[in-house]
Amino acid sequence: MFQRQYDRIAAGISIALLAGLAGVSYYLAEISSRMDRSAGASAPAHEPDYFVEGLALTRLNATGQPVFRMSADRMQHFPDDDSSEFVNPVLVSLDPARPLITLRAERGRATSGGEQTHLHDSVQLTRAAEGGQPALRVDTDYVLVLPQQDLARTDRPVRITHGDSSLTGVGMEFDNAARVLKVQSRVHGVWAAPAAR
Amino acid sequence: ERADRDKPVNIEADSMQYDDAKQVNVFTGSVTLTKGTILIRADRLVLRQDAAGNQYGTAHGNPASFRQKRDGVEQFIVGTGQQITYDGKAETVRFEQRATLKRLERERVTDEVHGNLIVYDSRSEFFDVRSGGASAATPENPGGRVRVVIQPKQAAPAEPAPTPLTPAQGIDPARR
Repeated sequence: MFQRQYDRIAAGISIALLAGLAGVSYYLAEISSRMDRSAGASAPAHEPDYFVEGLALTRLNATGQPVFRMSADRMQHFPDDDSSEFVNPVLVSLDPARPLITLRAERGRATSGGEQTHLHDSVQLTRAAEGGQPALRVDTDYVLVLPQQDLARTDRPVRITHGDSSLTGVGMEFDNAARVLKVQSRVHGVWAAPAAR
Repeated sequence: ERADRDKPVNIEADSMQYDDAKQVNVFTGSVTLTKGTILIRADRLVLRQDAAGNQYGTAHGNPASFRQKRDGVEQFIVGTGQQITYDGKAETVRFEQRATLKRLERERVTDEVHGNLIVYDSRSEFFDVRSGGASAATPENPGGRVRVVIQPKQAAPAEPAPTPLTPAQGIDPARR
């Protein structure tokens, strides 16, 4: 009778020992992983790793032709998401086949690889006057630029001036390749009377 | 009115697409164009401007409508059609496909014209109508022929110069 109880107690003790060991090792693993996370680059804060002043960046396409140039008073690069922020960025589309398009803003942010550039605060898109046609200008407070698709897009209110006509609306997309400007909603346009004959 | 020619054009619409290469504006969605007393309503309006700044608009609607006050007279020209083309330079308005043109005097229709193509010259305020034959048959105009309804003119109330008022001497039932 005593033997069975002894076995049961021995088994209980060994299980308890084992559980204790497992617990301790887990605890140690947890401590060590937390330690090196805090000691090393803990969740990398959004800190710049370098900045450039008086920047002029020219992007080339596959055949080496300059596609567009971005200049800015100051640029900061952030390693954690490989993004860059710009002060007073100016984007110029350099396609010789088409009129010059300039995009300027007070602040800009480009994601890694530059597929997307967000422009904020007094953003201005200008298509230079050409062929007797007056300049076309779009004013808004935010524009998303997609250089690869040659698109500039916003969902914010826009004001468009073209010669002596002006138009306001909400939401805009400018397709630089097709040279088509779309305004999504609440369009109100005013065309001045033709020049007095 | 003649003065409309030098009035700015105002356009309201739901959305707009501007082709910068061809310089053509396409407005869609409850479009209204106003220029002086001219008012055009349509579902879709294509607007082009030539180098001299003259505007050309083609409105499509079901139907699109056009309204303009006549020069110096309390009368309106109201036209409708599936397609209305406004030529800012020649100041003509073409109404096509089930076109109608009415002359209204204080909301009373004085003349009415149905046809397939009506061209209204807002400078001379004349319009000519061409029938479309059977193809342009409409419920009110089964033959598709030109149908003109000219209301008998009332004794046009001449714009009375302010006549001096003299008290009536007596009641004379014969002269009202």
